[in-house]
Amino acid sequence: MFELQNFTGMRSNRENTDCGISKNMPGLQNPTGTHSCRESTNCSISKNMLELRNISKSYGRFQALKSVNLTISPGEIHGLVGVNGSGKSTLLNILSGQRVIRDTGGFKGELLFENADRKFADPGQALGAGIGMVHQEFALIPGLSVADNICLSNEKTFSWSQKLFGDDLACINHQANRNTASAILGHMGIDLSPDLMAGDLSVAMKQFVELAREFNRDHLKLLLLDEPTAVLGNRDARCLMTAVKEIAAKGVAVLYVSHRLEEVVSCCDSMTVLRNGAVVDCIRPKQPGQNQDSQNQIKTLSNLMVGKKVKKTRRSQVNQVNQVNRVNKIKMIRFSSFSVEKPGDRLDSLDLDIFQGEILGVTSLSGHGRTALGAGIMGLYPAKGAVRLKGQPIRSFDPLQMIKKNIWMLPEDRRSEGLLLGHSIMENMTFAAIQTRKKFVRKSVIPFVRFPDQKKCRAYADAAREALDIDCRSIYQNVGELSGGNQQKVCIANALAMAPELLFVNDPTRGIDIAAREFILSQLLKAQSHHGMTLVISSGELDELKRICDRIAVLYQGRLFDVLTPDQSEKEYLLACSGIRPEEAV
Amino acid sequence: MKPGQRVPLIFALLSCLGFYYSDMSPSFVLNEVITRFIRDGVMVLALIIPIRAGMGINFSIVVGALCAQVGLILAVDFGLGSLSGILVMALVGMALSVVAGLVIGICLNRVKNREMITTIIIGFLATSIYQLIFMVGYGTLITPTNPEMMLSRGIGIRNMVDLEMFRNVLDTLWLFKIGRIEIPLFMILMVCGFALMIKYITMTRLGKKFQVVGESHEKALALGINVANVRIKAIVASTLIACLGHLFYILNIGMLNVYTAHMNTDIFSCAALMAGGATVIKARVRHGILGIFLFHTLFIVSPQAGQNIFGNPALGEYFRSFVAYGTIAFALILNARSLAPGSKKN
Repeated sequence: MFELQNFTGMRSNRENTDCGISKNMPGLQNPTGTHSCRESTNCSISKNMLELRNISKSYGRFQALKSVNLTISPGEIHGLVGVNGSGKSTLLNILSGQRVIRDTGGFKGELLFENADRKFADPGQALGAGIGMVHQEFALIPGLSVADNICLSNEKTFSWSQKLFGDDLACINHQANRNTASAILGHMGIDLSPDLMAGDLSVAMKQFVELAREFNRDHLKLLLLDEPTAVLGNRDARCLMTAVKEIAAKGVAVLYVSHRLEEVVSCCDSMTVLRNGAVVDCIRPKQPGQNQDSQNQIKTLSNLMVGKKVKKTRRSQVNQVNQVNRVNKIKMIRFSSFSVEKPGDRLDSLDLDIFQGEILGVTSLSGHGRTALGAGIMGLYPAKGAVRLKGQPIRSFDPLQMIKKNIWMLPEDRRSEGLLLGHSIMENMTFAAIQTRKKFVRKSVIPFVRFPDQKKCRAYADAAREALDIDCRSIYQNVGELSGGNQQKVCIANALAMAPELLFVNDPTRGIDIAAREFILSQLLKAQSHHGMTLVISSGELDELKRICDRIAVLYQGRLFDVLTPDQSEKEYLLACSGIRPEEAV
Repeated sequence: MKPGQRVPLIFALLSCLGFYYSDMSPSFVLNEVITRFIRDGVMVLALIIPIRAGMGINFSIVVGALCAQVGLILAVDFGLGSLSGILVMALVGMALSVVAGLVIGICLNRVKNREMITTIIIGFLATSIYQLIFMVGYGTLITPTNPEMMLSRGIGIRNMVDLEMFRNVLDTLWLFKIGRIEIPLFMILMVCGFALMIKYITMTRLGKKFQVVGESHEKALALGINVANVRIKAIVASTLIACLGHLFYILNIGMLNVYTAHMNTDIFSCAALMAGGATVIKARVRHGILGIFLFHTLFIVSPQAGQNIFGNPALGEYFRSFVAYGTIAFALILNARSLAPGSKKN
C-alpha cells in the first residue's frame, strides 16, 4: 500500500516545488529516494524533460522526419497530431528506441533526455532511462494474468530471495503483485480482477492494462501514448484521460499522440502539429481546455494538419452502372449470418448484400472485424453462415474453390500472406494465374505437363511494371527487396492477372507513403471501371474510403453497425465506429 | 479433454495393460521405476526451461551429457576415486557445459523458430567431435596417464570404462528398504531437489522473462527484455542440468559406455516429458515427474508383455522405440495443430 499512498499523495506536492520530478518521481515507486539527488541537480540546469533538436530520419529515399524540434517539460502533456504518414509513429519509434530505427540506419539530430544526449539502441535502454510507452498494437502478454502484465519486469519479490539469489533469481511475490495491480487499477477507476488472463480481455481493458503497466514503472519520467483512445468508447476515453492527467500532475511528461482532436485540445498543455515529417506549428494555449477556445483550436489544428490540399484520388462521378445495378438489384454476393473466427478480429453474423460493380468500403476500429470478411470467404479462417454468389450458394470456404469462382483477395499483411518474398517480381505477378487459371502457360501434347510461357510472363510483367509505375531494378528483382508501396503494386498486378469478378482488398494503403497511397487507390478505381470488378475494400482510413466507395459498412465489435454513404460527415462515421447512434450522442 | 491430460491417460492405460500381461511382480516394477527415476529424472527436467522460453525441445542436452562424460573420463584418467573424483568430474563437466551452452545459445539466436532441428544437428556434431577426440586424439595428441583405459593398440579409449571406484557411492547413501522395495533416499531427494530448483526458477523474475520471451519476441523486446540474452541463459541452464543429470545416470549404472552412453538420452527424456503431458510450447515440472513414472513403467513392462502375448520379446523391444518416437511425434503434431492459423491458441 505504500506505493498507493505516494501515488495519490503526490499531487499536492507539485505546487510546492518548481521541478515536479525532484520530489515526486522517486516517490512513485522508489522508496529509497536515490534518484532525487540526481534529478534535482538536473533541474537546476534546465526545466525540459525532453528536447529534440533537428531530428531527421529517412527510410531509404523516403524522408519520414525533417529536422523536428520539440520540447516537453516535466508534468506537461504535449499533444502530437498529424494525418497518417506525417511521421508521428517514426518519432515515437525514435523516442522509445525501437529496433527498426537502428536497423534502417538510425536518425540524425540530438535527442536530449534530461539534458543528456541519448540514442536508444533498443527499447530496454529507453525503459531504463524512464521512458514508458503505451503501444497502439498491444504489447501485453496474453498468457500472463493482468497482475503479471502490470508488474512485468518490475515484479515485487520476497526480500529473502532477493538477498540470497540476486535480482534475477528472486522469487516473485504474487500476492504483493496482485495488490499493486488492483491498487493501480482501482485508482484508475477500473473494475478488473487482476487474476484474469490478459488474452481474454476486451480491447478497451487491454488498453487500460497497458497504461497501468506504465504507471507501475519505477522512475517513469516520460510517457508516450500512441493513439491510446483509438479503441475506446467516449466514456472509457474520458476515464483514460483523467488517469493521464493525474500521472502528469506527478511530474511525468506525457507525449500524447491522437487522431481525436477534441481530446488533444481538452487535455494537452501544448500541441505540436506534424505534416509530411516536418513541424508545422507548436501551439501553447494559455489555458488549456477552455470551452470558447477549443472549437477554434480544433479548426486551427485541422487546418494545420492538412495544409495545402494534396491532389487526392476521387471518383469523378458516381458510376452510372452502379446506380443501375443497385436499382436493378443485381446482387454479386449475399451474406446471411456470416461469421468468421479470425483471432483478434472476428466477424459476427453479418447480413449484407454486395451489388455487381460497386465499391463497398468496410471500416471499423482495429480489432472490430473489418479484415475478417475477405479472409473468411477465402477460407483462411474458419467461417460459417450462408453465402450466395450470384444466387448460387457457396458450401465450403476454400481458397481454390473461391479462385475458381473468380474471387480474389489482397491481404493486409502483404509480406506474409500476399507475396513470395524470395521470388522475383515477375513470378509473383504471374504465379497464381499460372497455377489456377492456366494463363501464361504453353500448350502441351502431354497431359498434366505444361510449362509456363516465359515470354508471355515477361510481357505481362513488363506491361504491369509500366502501368503501375513499379520502382525496381528489373522484373527479376526479388519482391522482398521492394518498398511497401511497390510490393502492394505487385500484389495488385497479381490480382489483375487473375481478373477476378469480386476482389476483396484489406488495408490497401497500410504502411505506404502518401504519394503511393493515392496511386494505389487510383489503380483500384481503374481496375473497377475497366474490368468491371466488384471491390470490397476494408480499411481504417475513413478519408480514403469516403473518397472512393459507393457505400461504407461500419462494423462495431464484429457486427455490422450501419451502412453509410460517403457524403455523411466524419462525425457520423466516428460515432458509428464507436458503436454510438447519432441520436444517443446528444 | 486437453492434450495435457489425454497423453498421460493413454500412457497410464497402456502401462496397466502391459503390467497385466507381463506377469511381473509389483515390487519388481516399482524397484525398476525408482531406479529409472533417479537415473533419468534430472535429464528430463533439463528440457523444461528451453520449452518455457519458446525454444522447443532442446535435443542438444546430448552435449551436456557429453560434457559429463568428458569430466568422468578425465577423473578416471587421473585415477581420482570416490567423492573427490565425483566432485572433479562434476566441476569439469559443469564448466564445459556452461561454455557449450553459451555456444549453442549463440547459435540458436541466429536460427530463431528453427531451434529444434538445429539442436538435433548440434547434438550429432558434438557426438562426432567427441568421438574424434576420444577415439583418435587420445594416445596421439593427448597422452593418457591411465593406460588401463586405453585400447590395446595404444590409440583411443576402450568402449567400456569400468567405474568401480564410483559404483554405489551415491546410490547407497541413505538406502533403506520397505519390504522388497529399495529406496535410495539421497538420490531421490537429489532428483526432487532439482525439480524444486526448476520450479523455483519458473517462479522468479528470470522465469517470468523465459515465459514472456516464449510468448513473443517482439513484445518482449518492446518491454525492454534482452531476448537474446534470456534465450542463452535458458540453454546454458538446460545444458548444465543435463550434464549433472547424465552424471547421475552413469554413476547409477556404474559403467561408462564411452561411445554410446549419451545416445538416445535426448529422445528418451523428451518422450518421458511428453508422456507426462508437456507439449513443445508448454512444460511444467509436474509433467516431467509424472512422465518419468508413466514412460518408464511402460518401458519396463513392454518387452515381457510382448513375450507373453506374442511369444516374442523382440516385439516388445520394438514397441519401446515405437512408444518413444510415437510420443514425440504425437506431441509435435498436437502442437502444429494448435499453432495453425485459426486455432484458438493463435
